Amino acid sequence: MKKWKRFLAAAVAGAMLLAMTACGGKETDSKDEGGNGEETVNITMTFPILNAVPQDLDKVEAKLSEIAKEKYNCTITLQPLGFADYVSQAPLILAGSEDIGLMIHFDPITNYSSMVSSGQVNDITELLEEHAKDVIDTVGEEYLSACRVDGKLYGVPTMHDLATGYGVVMRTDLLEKHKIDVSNIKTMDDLDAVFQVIQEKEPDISPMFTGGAAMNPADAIMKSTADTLGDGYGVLMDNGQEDTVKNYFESDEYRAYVDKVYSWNQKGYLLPDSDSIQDTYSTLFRANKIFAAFMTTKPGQVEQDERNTGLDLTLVELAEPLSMTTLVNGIQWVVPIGASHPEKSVEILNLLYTDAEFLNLLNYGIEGEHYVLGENNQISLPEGVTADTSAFNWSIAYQSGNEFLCYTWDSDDPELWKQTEQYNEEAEKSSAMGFTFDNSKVANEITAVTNVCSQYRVGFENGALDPAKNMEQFLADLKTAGIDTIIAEKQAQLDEWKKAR
Amino acid sequence: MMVPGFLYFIINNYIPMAGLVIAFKNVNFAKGIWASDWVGLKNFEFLFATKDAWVITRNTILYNLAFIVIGTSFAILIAILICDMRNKKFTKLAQNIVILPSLISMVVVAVLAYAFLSTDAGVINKLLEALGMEGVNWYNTPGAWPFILVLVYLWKNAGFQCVLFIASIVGISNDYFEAARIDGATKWQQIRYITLPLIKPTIIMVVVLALGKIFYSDFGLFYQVTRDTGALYSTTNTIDTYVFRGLTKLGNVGMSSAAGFYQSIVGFVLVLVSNLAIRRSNKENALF
Repeated sequence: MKKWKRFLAAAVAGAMLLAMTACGGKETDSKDEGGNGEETVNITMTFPILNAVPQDLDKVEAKLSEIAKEKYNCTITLQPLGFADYVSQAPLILAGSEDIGLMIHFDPITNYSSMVSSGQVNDITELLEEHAKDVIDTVGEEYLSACRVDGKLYGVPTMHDLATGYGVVMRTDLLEKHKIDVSNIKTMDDLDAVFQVIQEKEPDISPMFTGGAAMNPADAIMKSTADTLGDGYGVLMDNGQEDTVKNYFESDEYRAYVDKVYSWNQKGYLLPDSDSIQDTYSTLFRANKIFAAFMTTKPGQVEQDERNTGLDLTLVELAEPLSMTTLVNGIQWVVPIGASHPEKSVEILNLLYTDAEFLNLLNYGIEGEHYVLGENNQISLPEGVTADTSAFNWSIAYQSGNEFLCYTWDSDDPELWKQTEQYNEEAEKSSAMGFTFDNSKVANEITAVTNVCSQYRVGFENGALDPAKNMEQFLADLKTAGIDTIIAEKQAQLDEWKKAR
Repeated sequence: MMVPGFLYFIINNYIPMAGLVIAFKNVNFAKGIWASDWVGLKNFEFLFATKDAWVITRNTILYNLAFIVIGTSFAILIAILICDMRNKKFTKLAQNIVILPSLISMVVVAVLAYAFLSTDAGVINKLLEALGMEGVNWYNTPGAWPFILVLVYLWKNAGFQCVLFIASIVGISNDYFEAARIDGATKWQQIRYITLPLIKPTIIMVVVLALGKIFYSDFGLFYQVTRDTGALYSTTNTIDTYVFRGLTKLGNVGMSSAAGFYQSIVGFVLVLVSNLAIRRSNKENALF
């Protein structure tokens, strides 16, 4: 017995020693760059998704790794997180030392200027010049400049729709069933009549979902009518054309919105307990719980949501698209400071911005298995597969890199990418396009204001809090928390930026 | 023999204390912790910058006091009841039943609570409707939550706490009770004059240890069970949830460790003070 034990102990010790030397060896090998005997490096990519994690993630990962291995001697690990999880996970990933090679910065979940000022992301200006010249050429200086902080680049914006409008989507089948005409709907007030019909005739379904607790529902309307200048604490009203930074929550627009939503909740039009629901609208559409939801709009938005939900949807636009800095630098690939091989991460960016095969694989899965390629570079689901049963179905083209190289779905307009380019050009642009707010001087105030906002905003914007009773308190709390200090700082930085131009 | 325990404490409790410097630094991840700039007490400012500091400190302390007072009394009550059971099989069963909730994760507890409190399908609202009353939107009624949270806390924790008391009650010699019964003491008198005085040291130990944690709130209870609903913050926001909320958005490690530091200092002082007070009145009962 004793002998056996001693043998076991020796075996374990030996195994540990082996493991340790193996680890050590790997470290030194991968550090000497460019050598032919270079070890394969694994790059983990993390990003938020609207749907559940697809079943065939491993298969796609293996195929992606094949391409990456051949070109840059890397393997790829995908680490998608649901939106609600991303809200709590992303800041922790950034604050930890986890080896994440590439990560999506998604405003307002993560804040670009905080990430940069606290050194959570790598300065990749030189790495891009050295390893990814193509990316710089593809994206273009106009958009890159919106991401520069003191002339340095800390991320690359994904190429997608760079303006956002605002609207409401409704289930087409129910609209037709009850013969509702949506062509006359121009404002939120016009929606009451529609919701009333649905409430009467479809008692099992809630007429409306404003957005829930995962995100502040009014962000969508705020972003299509004002330049949020980063965090929304102090905005430029009137589509970003004004010169003075104002408190959006004091505006008539915000009051009108929360009043309306509250009245809907009083009438029972909203999904009950909306202010504590973490699900996204596409999940709720699928679960047959809601008839309509607010959303931000872009070309192809409805088609994208139809694929996500498996339902026919009708979009009614409530606000024209607006473009501002936050939308350009709001979704970027960044290289977190924990990344062990930043140069490799940047090389992968080459694939994300210039390699159509890699992009299509990442977005749509494996040809023949998860989609079939038809005419005009348009794809469709294989026969017998629906959005619900597909083993690889997510709509992340807008955050994958260069979406203009991707296929489009056959339900999309074949000219979708051309339309998107046109849309980007034609959208009204904020007067502060290119300005990035550096919030490091007012970090205390931002923490306090963030806390006040998380106390009230979700409640107001999902119709749970009565604005007549609570709005005054909200505004007073914002003042005590120091929103005026933030606004003054923003104004000063903005004035300086305007002068410098 | 002490070496493994000692090592455990050094590795897990003492070495990480070096991290306290983070509370006084403007952490820059590119420079690393040690090379980051010192900022003095600036990281602590945000805690006291608003009236939030008052609300969260009040909530944290009041809830914990309620938990200590009500929770401990309730645990003692259960312990006494369980010890007085005649049927041994039923005693075992009862013990298992009261301990079961403490094995359940707070996230699951939150879902159970939601099943009771949900506005359209909750058990309580269905009952109210059946009785002809109007349902209440619980997740929008801050006034009700101190009671709900205390109830949830009791349901979850009392069973586990009472194990300690059961152990010390079982340790009391049966002679005392027999003598008391012969002298004609009622049940209540036996509890009042025999059980309680003899388990006093245990009670004091439990309370003093709990006082040390009075500045820590059960994060799961206050974050999950309330479903992080903004409308409830006035009565459910505690230091831990406040810090979590503010800093998951900003991701500022300096500020979160400042809050952690503040919590542990106040907790440390409270343990010292309460132990001192106890030692003044009765030296034997003091912890140290």
